[in-house]
Formats: sequence, structure tokens, C-alpha cells
Amino acid sequence: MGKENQLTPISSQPLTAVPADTHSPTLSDRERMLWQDHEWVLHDPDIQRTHVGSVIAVSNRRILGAGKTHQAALESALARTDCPPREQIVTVAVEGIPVASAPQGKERP
Amino acid sequence: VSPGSPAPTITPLRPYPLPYAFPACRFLCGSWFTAWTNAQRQHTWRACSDSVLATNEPLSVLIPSLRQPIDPVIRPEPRWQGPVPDWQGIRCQIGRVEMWLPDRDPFVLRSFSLLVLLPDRDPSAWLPYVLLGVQFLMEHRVAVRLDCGQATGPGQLEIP
Repeated sequence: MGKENQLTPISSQPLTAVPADTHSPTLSDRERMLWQDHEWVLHDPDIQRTHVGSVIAVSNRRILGAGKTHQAALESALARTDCPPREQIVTVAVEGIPVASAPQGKERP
Repeated sequence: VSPGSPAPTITPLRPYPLPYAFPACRFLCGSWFTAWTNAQRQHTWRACSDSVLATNEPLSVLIPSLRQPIDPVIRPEPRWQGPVPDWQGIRCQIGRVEMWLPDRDPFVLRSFSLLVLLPDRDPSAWLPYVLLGVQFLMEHRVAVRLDCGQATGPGQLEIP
């Protein structure tokens, strides 16, 4: 596991004000892929059936890890040698029934 | 909304059905959080993580098992005077994170400062979402609209 993909322990997270980068109101291409992965998990009946009660880590419609918590799912994904960078992974809780439709009915390619 | 003022942000609330004998759901909100890219903490990105409308919670809550994988940028809240309340008997810190909510279109976001309780540990039972409490609704003057006319109807947040 590369250093870039390690989780920062909670205890080392001070409440400090640090200037951050600015982000556009519009999602970047990479963020759109994250959102589409997120939607895929929420809507896919097979995923909802097979992973009910867990959190799964996904990138580019590929399930990389699963666990009882977001942290466990992400750690499972990051332990893989073929894991993409953290910023390309989304973790989604699976409660067992697919969500009926996307918000506003907008699913974009 | 007064004439000439910007249109309010409309954020859909998504009914996530629950496998119960009777119709029930959670109202989820697709949300993003400004987060550190790595332990060096020089750059940020936006992490996607669902929130749940939690009107039973006075304050919003970000539990450790969500906080650690997101690693959000947390700023202090100097206006908070006095002790920070426990949450489910767990000692907490309090701070602010930057949350981004979709505005009509899932690919268009608006940022909000979210005051959150930061529990020291997860409770024994928890929801795997950021809990959006009433304080957020009041601070940002959010109108919550739910339509439960159908089994699991839609809802939305309207934020001026």
C-alpha cells in the first residue's frame, strides 16, 4: 500500500483552520465518475441484494472492497495492489433495496 | 424568496426504502465534503458521502468511521462557548466542515458550512451517513419538503 493511500488516524486530525484549494460549483470529470459509481451502487438490484448491510468501495463500476463501515470498506480497497488513488474511490452504504430513480431523473453518460 | 433575489438551491432528498414489513424509508441527500487528499494536508478534493435528514438530532454528526475515510477539512468554531454536548453518551469535539449539496442538477453543487459534532468513537449502533441535524436547517434557513403521499415519496431541501 502506497503512502498516498494510507488513512490518517483520527487522533492526528487537529481542528485547525488551514486555507484550502478552491473548488468549482460544477463537478469535474473525475467527480462525475464518482457520482456515477455512487448511483450505480444505489440503483443496482444485484449489488443491493448481495451486499446488503455492508458498505462497499467502488471505482469505475468495480467493487474494490467491502466492510461493515466506510472505513473498513476503504481500507479493504486500499489494501489491494491494483487499487486506484483514493480520490477515485467512493464508499456507499447498501441497505438492501435499490433506489427507484435518480434525483431529477438526470442520469448522464 | 423576495423579487430579484437568487433562486433558492433545490437539493433532492432521496427516499431510500428499508426492508421492513411496512413502507418506510430514510431521506438521503447526495453530499460532498471538502477533504484532504493525503496525510501531508497540502491539497483538498471533494469526497462524495451521503447524508441523511436527521431531524431528531439537534446538531449534525460526523462519526469517526466516516470521518476517517473522508478526512474532511475541519475548522474550529470559535463562537461555540461552553462545553460540547456528548452524543449518545460519547464525548465530542465540535467544528465546521465544508459540505457541498447538489442544486437541481447532480453535477452542480453549492457549498455550505456545516457545524458538526465529532464523537470520539462510533456508538454501538450507527447509521452509515452524515447526520444532518436541525441546526444546519436553522442556520441556513432550509425549508424541508416531503411528499409521503406515495409509499416512499420524494422530498427536497430548499435553501435561500
